[in-house]
Amino acid sequence: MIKIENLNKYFGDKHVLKDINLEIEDGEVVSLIGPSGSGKSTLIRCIDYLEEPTSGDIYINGKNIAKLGNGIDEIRQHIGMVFQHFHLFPHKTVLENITLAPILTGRLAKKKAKEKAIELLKTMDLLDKKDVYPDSLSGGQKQRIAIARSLAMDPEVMLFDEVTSALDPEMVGEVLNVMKGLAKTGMTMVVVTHEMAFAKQVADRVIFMADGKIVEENNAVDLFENPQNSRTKEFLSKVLEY
Amino acid sequence: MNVVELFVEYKDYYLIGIKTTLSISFLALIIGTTLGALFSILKLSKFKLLKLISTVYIEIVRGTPMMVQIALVYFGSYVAMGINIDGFLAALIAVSLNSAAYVAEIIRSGIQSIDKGQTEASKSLGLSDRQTMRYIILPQAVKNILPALGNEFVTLIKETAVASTIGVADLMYTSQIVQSSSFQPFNPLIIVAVIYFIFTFTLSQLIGVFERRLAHND
Repeated sequence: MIKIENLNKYFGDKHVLKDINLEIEDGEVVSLIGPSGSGKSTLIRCIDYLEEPTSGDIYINGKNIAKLGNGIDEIRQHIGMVFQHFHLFPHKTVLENITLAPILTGRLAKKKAKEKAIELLKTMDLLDKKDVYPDSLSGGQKQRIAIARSLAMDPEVMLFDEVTSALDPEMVGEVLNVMKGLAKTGMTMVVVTHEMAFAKQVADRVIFMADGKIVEENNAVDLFENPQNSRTKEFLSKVLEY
Repeated sequence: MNVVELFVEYKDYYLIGIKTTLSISFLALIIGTTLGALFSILKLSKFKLLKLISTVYIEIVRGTPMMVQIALVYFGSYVAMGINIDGFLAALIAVSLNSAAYVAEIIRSGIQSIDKGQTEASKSLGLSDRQTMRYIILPQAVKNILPALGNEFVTLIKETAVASTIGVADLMYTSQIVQSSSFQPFNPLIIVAVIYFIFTFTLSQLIGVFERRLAHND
């Protein structure tokens, strides 16, 4: 359903993605790991067209997103994205944060959108927060609301860009649990993460990136226990040391 | 004659001055804000030419004295285009165009002060550029824009005093008339200072109320 062909991205002179080829199937959970600056965040941002590829093609359900122009808004309605720094809308209540997009895009009527938001808040165990503003929430709560906000659009894919990196350690678990639950529902997920344990447990496939290239990919168990490439070995030995 | 007696004696003159100053201020505020909003859109535009036009305009206006601008409009309209416009219109045009440049910068910086992540989050949900601006960026930017805009309005009222330099019968001009006909150099200045202050103080209080109301909505 997501197909990336010969994707290149430059920031000025910096070549941050080098000839990426990747296919992600429906229902697959893919983890992108690698040192910072390896291009994994840029890659996931290209899938949502928040970064414009310098060259190459990205197909989502067969549609080439680089050639869509304003049609990209429609495609994005089917792709959920969760950010490291949440980016909740501070001038909207929790409930409004979740109902805003379904209503504005004409996806759901007001009443339906509200019902859906309440249902999502229940699964996130945050129903009591529905009328507060994001300011008064903890990081973990904010991130769960951000996930709920994306899910309210009924996306076919969810992209997670280092969603636990800005959280206090004791809040990481609550967000990962939500993601685990989501993976069990069969959601297609692309997860950029530093949480190796999560990648190992939840991902169907783990992709190791370095210097803008996909260095190695394999199922989670094999990649972590039997890495082939020396770069992968080096990276894993550093992050799995403790 | 003390200040109060002087004011009563010349109150008809002052009323004309007040009316003129308020008219220029009010109209220039509306025209200037509207034009300023347009220029800010140009400046934020993706098209380089539009951006350049707006940037050049803003820099020229901000880099030259108001008194020069008003003379340029008044005398320039005749020299350059052969039209004779009256002083009031020239003052209104000059003050509006001047204010537009400052308002454009205020709105632009207010919009740009909103974290890029807000735009990304909104677009990632599938909202269009227009919806993102209207429902996500502007409501947040207004809180940054409003206080600065209030300052600009206060400045605008005070700056209309340069209209007197091209003979428009505004408050400042009235005060000069009263100075020469009453042979009192000082008291008429006190009177205009107080009147200008009443205008600006009232306006800033009104804006303060509005700001507090916005803050409440949070």
